[in-house]
Amino acid sequence: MKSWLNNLRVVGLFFLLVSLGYLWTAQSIPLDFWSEQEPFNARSLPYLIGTACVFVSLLLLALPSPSFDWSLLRGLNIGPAVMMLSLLSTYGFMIDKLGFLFSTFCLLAAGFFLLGERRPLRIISIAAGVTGIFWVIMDLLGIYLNPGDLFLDWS
Amino acid sequence: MIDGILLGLQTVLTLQNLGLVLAGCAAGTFIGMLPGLGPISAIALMIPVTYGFDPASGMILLAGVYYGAIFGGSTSSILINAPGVAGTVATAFDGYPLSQQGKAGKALAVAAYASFAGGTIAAVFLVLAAPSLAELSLSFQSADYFILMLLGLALVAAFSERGDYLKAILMTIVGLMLSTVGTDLSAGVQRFTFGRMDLIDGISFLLLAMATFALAEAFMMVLKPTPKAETQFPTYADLSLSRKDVKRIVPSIGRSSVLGFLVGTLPGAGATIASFLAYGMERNIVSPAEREQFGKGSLAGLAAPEAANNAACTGSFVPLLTLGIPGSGTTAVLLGALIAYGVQPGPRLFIDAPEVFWSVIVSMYFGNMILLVLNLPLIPQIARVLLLPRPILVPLIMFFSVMGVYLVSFNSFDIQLMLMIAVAAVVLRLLTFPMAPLLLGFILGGMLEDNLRRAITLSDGSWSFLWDRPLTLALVMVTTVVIITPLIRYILPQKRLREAS
Repeated sequence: MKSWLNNLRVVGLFFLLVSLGYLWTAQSIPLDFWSEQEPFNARSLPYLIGTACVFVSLLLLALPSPSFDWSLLRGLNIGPAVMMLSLLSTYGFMIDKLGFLFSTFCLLAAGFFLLGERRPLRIISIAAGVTGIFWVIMDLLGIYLNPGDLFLDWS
Repeated sequence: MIDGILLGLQTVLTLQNLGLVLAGCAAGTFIGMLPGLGPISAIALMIPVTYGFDPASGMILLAGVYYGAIFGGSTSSILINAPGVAGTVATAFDGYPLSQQGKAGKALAVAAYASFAGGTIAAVFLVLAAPSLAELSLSFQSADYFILMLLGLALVAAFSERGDYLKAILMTIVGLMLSTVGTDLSAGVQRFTFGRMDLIDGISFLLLAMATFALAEAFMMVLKPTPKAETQFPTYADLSLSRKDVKRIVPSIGRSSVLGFLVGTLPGAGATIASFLAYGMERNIVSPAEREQFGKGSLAGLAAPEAANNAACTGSFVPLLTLGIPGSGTTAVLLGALIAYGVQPGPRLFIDAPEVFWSVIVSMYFGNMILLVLNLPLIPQIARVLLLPRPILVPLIMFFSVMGVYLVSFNSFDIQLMLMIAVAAVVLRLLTFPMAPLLLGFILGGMLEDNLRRAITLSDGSWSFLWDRPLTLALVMVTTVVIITPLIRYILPQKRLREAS
């Protein structure tokens, strides 16, 4: 079982499910009376692509393929990657609330630290420098960066 | 044609545009040098910068970035044996041994001269070929475009390695699926938006390019840290070449440039295939004594892939500018940028916006010149980027990727969507699935649907448009062969393998 389930089949199985879901959703694309009569409407291409995806996924599942060495994925640094992902996601939620300057400084400083930089002076100076220079360039280009809803509420 | 070149020169030779070529080359070299970040990431990262400019200036900057990224990739191939770009892997075969022998300066100079010569020869071909091909393609109809786009998508998969054919096809289809998210413009109905306002406009191509390339590469750097680059670079003060060296590389450059340009014009075959083909061809052509040197620091072995990859980059602009069909992931991103500027590439570009058409061609040549005149002497300074520690570099790449997308929409939902796509891209990359076909499928999806709708409507709902005109029929036959042949080649050995076991 383990050798049968190689990388091609894992992805094939995943996209088989995705394409079935895609086809099912395509059925509920709203069409008015006239569009339904047209030979090519908003559902046509999704049906074609969805069917093609089902076909290719089935080929990936059915055709014999070399086994995949799953141990290659064992030595990955998953911890720091997940932490960086959470950091970026938090940044996405906070940028409108805390404003560009504060949230960007925090993102960069925390990112440097998470990935192994330990010199505080270096962390603070680079994070502050990049944030400041980026903000000045955007200001010169006339691009408005939100100072943050929280700060706007206070003022 | 002369008028066109003059128009291009007039557009490029302004202080602003010359500055943009220069900035583009420098930024491209800088980004391309970072292992993992290739021209697609470099261009995607620079697109937000270009939104303030007119289309011609924007394309001038991006063409500079493209060449710069390839040049930067060669530099890291030669200096630290870490190609920043797939197209410069073959450069490392002979470039790195040369640098280990203390001839890094000579290797960098050969790479720069070969790139310049490859770019020059290809630019001449482009000037000769593009306008006539654009005029010819004016006779193409929707049905032909539909088939040509299918052919382009199929060729990308067909040119992938044998075992990767189905992976590339699947990724192309997934790209097409993603392109259907958003409002269908013909009927004005929403598709696959799941009631979310943020998805009404669909997924932006910049978001997808940034998520699947720049951001995914940054995450790969965290997941698989590469051994630290040597902190001591080889010395390369001497950039001169002897007369004997020049004599040795000139024929290789000539042959490889022509081959590179021809391979580059084929949709699907880009700089990577061109550079490997040129390297292989040179090894077969040169004298047995020189062949012995291949892989150990042969100048011809370094010049050939360098000339070919640059010529192929120029060649890849032929289908983009004349048909509006990108042949590679990189030209797909450039196409996305053009569409974002409100310019529709294709045969009409040559007529409707000749200043864009010609300024891209002329600026590519200027880009080559600037790389030779300015970047080569500045390489020791620019190469310092290789010494930037990963803990500093990776968060910066991530920040610039996220900001590039956020600054276009100012919608923080885009950041979350981008992260989701990046995670999926990283997982698919780890499972050895390629990302460039996905990008190409995504960018061609909308155009493919428009042309198919028009062709079917014009033929009253019948699929007979596929065989009504001889030109369309011929294209259909070629496309069928391109799709079926690799599939058979993929299935047959596997079947034999199963029978044997």
